[in-house]
Formats: sequence, structure tokens, C-alpha cells
Amino acid sequence: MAIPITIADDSALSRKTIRRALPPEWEVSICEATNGKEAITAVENGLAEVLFLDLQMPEMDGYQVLTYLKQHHEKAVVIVISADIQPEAQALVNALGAFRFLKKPLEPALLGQTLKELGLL
Amino acid sequence: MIDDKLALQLIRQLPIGACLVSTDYTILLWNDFFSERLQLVPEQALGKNLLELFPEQSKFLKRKLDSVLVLKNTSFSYWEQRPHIFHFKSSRPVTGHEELMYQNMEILPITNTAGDVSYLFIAIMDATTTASYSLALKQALSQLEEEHKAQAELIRKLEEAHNQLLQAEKMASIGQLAAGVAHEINNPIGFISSNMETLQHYCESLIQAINFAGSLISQSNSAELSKQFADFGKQRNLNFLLQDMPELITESLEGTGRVMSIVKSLREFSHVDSSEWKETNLIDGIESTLRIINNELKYKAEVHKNYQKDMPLVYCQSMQINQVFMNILLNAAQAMEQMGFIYIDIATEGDFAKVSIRDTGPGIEVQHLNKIFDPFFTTKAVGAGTGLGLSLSYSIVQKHKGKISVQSQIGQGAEFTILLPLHQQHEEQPEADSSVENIL
Amino acid sequence: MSSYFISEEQKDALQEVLNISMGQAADALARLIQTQVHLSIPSIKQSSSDHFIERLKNPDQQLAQQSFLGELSGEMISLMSDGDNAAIAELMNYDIPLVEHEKQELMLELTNILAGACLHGLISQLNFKIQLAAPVLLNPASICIEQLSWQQALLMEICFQIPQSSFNAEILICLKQDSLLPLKNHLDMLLQ
Repeated sequence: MAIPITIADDSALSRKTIRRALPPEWEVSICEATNGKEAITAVENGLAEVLFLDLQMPEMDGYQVLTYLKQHHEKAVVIVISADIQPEAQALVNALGAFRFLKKPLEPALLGQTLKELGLL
Repeated sequence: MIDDKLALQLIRQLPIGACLVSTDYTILLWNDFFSERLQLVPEQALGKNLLELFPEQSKFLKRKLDSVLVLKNTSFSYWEQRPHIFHFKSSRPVTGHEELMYQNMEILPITNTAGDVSYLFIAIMDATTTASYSLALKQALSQLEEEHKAQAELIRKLEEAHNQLLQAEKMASIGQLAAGVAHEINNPIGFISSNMETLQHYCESLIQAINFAGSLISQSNSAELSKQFADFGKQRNLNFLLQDMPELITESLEGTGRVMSIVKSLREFSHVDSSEWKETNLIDGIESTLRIINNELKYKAEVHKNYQKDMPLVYCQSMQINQVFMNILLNAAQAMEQMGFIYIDIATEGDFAKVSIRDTGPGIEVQHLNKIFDPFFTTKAVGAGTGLGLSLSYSIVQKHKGKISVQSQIGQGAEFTILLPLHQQHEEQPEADSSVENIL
Repeated sequence: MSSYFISEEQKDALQEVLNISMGQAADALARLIQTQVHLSIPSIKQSSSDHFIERLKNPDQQLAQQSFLGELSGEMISLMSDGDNAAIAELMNYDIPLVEHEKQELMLELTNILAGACLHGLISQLNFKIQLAAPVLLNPASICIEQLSWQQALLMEICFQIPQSSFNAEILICLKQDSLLPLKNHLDMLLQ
């Protein structure tokens, strides 16, 4: 049974990069979101057991999405993939309940290892 | 393909300074350029900490090296901002005047396969020639700027001289006009005066004749004749007429005398001859000047004179010296706010004739004292003065190898002192010098 | 933006690459000067040559220029406010007050660091090999439109702020139209 995952990023290139980096043996059904609101809709509709979340997005940014999910006790596993890699950003998303923080540009090997660590693979 | 040995030799002989340091600043490579120019053989450098080896530059080098380590980008230093990072001897010991080499520096990151910086490569390029040209160019530019400034100053001086000339020419024209008018008046006033004198004699004779006739009539015992003569005399107011006529003639003669003396002064003052150098009596000069400007002075100041007896003659251009007296006296009169005094002293002082003119006016403000002889300096209202009078006076006195000075205190009046040498070197004075002073 | 210049898809990709570059640059700069650095999201613009010159001729700013040559060639221009630079000088470990040639050196150093940091991410993500030339001070009065050999260029603008020092700078990465081809090719490779 495929796991529903959502890739939330306003950049088409970035979504493509994440898709490509997913381990081929991982059985998933992929939904794409281009802003924070779409990401939340996907979670609420059960389309995102795992959410790959960008921080800088229009409508709602990644921080606001994390805050909303925390307030609504959503159980999605959120992996932040961000271009802002300063320690302050990492600390903030961890505090908001993200499971992991990955730097852009995304390294496929690191993503695979992270998924294993989280028991998703 | 080249082998390691050849590569090392190439690096050693590179025509730039090549130095490799580890991320903790330890020197790992030190090529010939470094060792020869710094007189520091590789054994003295290799394995040492670069920052400790060059403590003076350590702060700068550390900043540079750290930025390359963190940012993984080449860093640059340019000779213009930092000419001598390392104390390399000049690359032009013979033809150049530089003692130290001007340097450009690049620090390049050497990364490993993981993309991390493992070494830092320091390359030093000799920029002495470029720097030398560039500095010479800069110097030439500033020299050009200075010359430009000097030229502007020259133009300003020329303008000033031009204005002085204009003023001098104006004065000369006025002088000529005055001389012309004086000449024209001189002839008629001459015969008026001479005729008046003759008339005075005639008048005396006539009065005597009338008086004689009167006495003859009274002696004739003819009452009829006496009465007629007395009636005629009464009718014509003969007694008053006889009394007033000589007075009228005397007054007229006084008038013509005054006119003649003014004409004489004018001629003395403005006569072309007087611009020549000649033995001059300064007292005569002051007196004739005072006569000319009598009208300006008489309601402003009472003039007190103190002249040394047997004052020696002074070899000078009398007309110009008179001009100086006039400028000072007029300034004094114009400065006077109420009726005051002017004291004129003429005496010898050592080898000089000294003329001092002191007034009891308001005095000169301290900040104006050293500007008072500057051209165009004036405290009068715009248009009221040219600001040239005292500057011309100054140049006239200078030309005479004399001195003019001023002393003043606010509220205490001002005193101008003119010193003229008693023994001028006659031959030194140019005869037909067409400069400003001569046509004045 | 016309597709003949750069396509929407390419622009999206370039924007993402620049965002990542700026993230890296900000992180590196913060580590270098031990203080927080704010970077704006880069904006990508097409600019005409007269608009470009207009942009540079603001009297209240100091300019420096740095060229990059190689598989991708262009210039970076830093625009810094001509104000008080004591705070940034202190952060950069200079002894203040600065004398004139030290001010120039600081300006060039900042240009090298900021422009270098911006360019580094772009170059490494797109796999270009380039060489950086030394930065030089730029006098905007010396640039006149008649001398420019191009009409349209691609400008990537980034604003820097160091909140602790009231320091502001802008970096323009400039590529003229005929230098765009290698950039478009590499972006396309990324998009495949």
C-alpha cells in the first residue's frame, strides 16, 4: 500500500528535485502543493502522511504551516527542506515540531538516510 | 606529461610569489620569489605559522585567509590600498626610487573532493612598474592643478594691475583737464588782476582829484558853488561812493589773488612736469595740497601744522607725493563724524624725511588695519570709494623706496606715517618709465 | 519576460538556484563576521542599458565592480550607502577610525565577500567553472551609454542588511544578453 506524501514548494525545480531524490524502492503516492494553504489542505485530506515542506512560500509560509499543524494536532511527519540554513531557522522549525531539517540543495543520499532513521523506509 | 619533480621546480621558479598554507596557517610551500626577495630561506619559513612570522601583517592576513576559508572564494588585495604586505625589496633597485615592491595579492582556496578548503594559496604579484607609473601620473596631475592655480592667481594680479592702470589713467586725465582749465583761467585772471591794480591807482588819483576840487570850492567862498557841489554830492551819495570804491577794488583784488593762488596750486599739483623726479620741498607740497582740498577740510577739521625749520629738499616725484598726501587727508576728513583736528608734522628722522598726518576721527578697526593698503579694500559705501587710494599711495611710496604705515586705535583716530629717503640714488630712477606712477 | 530572453520555467529554476545560493551566502557571512545577516529574496530582472545606468548614478552610494570570466562571464556591482561604515569595519576586524585607503580597502573587501558569496552558490549549483577578477572601485560618471555594447541585460539583485550595524548593500549580478546562452543551457540541464 503506497504511503500518501505531499511535496510543498513554490518552485517547480525544487519539487522536481525532491521527486527525483526519493528512493525508488519507497512506495508512495505523491501530491504537490505550491503554497502553505495547499499543503494544509493536503494534510487535512489525508494526502500527506509525510510532508516535505519549504519555508519560503507565498500565501502561507513554512513556519505558519508548522504552527497550524501543531495547533490542530495533525500527525503528519514534516521534513523541512530549506534554502535558509542559518542556525536560527533550524532551531525555530525544530521548536515548531518538524521532524527533520534538510538543507537545499537536497542531497538524495541524505534524504534516504533520513527516511530510514525515521522508520519510514 | 610532467612529473612531480618538474612541477615543483616550476612552482619554485614562478615569477610570482607563491606560498601555500594549511588551514591553521602553517607554511607548506615557499618559492624562490619569497625566499630571495625576503632573504628568508625555505628552512626559515616552512613549518612556521605565517601569522607569527609576519606579526605586523597578521591581523590583515588572518582576516583575508579566514574569509577565503569560510566563503571558499578568492580574496584580493591591491597595491593602491595596501602597497607593501611583505617587505619585498623593490623590483627596480637601479632605475626606480621605490625601496619596497608594490604588491597585488590573491589568496585562492584549494578544495578537496568533498568541496572543503584544505589549503590556501597565496600569490604575490609585483606591481611596482604599474604603481610607479600611476603614482607619477597622479603627481603630474596635482602639479598641473597647482600650475593652473598659479595661473589663475596671475590672471587675478593682472586684472588688479589693469584696474590700477585704469584708475591711474583717470587720475591723469583729471590732472590734464585741471592743468588745461588752469591755463585757460590763468590768462584772463592775469589781465583782470593787472587791470584792477591799475584801476586802484586811477581810483586813488580820482578820489584825490575830487577831494582837491572840493577843498578848492570851499576855499573860493562862493556859497552858491559850495551849495551846488554839496547838493550834487548828496544827490549822488558821493561820500559813500568815495569810501566804498577802494574797498570794492581791494576786495576784488583779493578775489583775483585767491583765484590765482588756486590756479597756481592746480598747476603745481597737476603740471606734467611735476611727475618728474626733482628736488622738492615737502612743505610746499603739503601746503598746495591743503589749498586744493580746502573745501573738503574746512567744515570737518582744524588743521594744525608743525614743520621743521630748514627742512631739506627731498628728491621725489612731487606730484605723486602730493597725491599721497591728498589721499590720506581726504580719508581723514571723510572719516570725521564731527568737527575734529588734523595734525601734520614734517621733520627729518635719520636718513628719512618723515611726514605724519594724524586725525581725531573714529579710528580704524583692528581687522581692517592689515587690509587697508590692499587694492579695492574700502569701508565706504558701494560706489563711494574705489578702494584704490591707499593702495596707490602704498605703491607710490614703495617706488620711492620709502615706507608708509598706519597706527590706530578705535576711538582714538588714526596716524599715517610716510618716510621718504633724503638721499635717493638719482641714477636708479628710470627717466621715462611708463608705469602707473609716472602718469599719475 | 519574453521567452526569447529567458523562459518562465528557466526563470523559476534560476530563482530557486539563487534562493539556495543566498541561503548559503547568508550562512557563510554570518559565520565569517559572527553576526546575523539579512538577505532579501533575489529578484531577477531584465534591464535596458539606460535603466541600468540610471540605477548606478545615485550620488549617495559608493560603487565597486568585480568581473567573473570563464564558462559564464559577467560582472557584479556592489552599491553601498556612502554613510557611516565604522560599525561594519569593526565587525570586519578593522582598526577604526579608518583612513581613506582603508575605507577603499573595506569597500573592496566587502564587495569581494558579498559578491563572491552570492556568485559561489550559483556557480557551484549550475556546475560552471569561472575565475574571479579583483574588485575595483567604480566611478559611475565614467560610464556612458554610448560606450555600452548591449541593449538588454539580465540583472539579479540581492539586498544585504546587517541589523547590528545599519549596514546596507546591494549586489547586482549582471549578464548581458549574449552571455545568457550558457546560463540557459545549464538551467535546462537542471530541469531535465
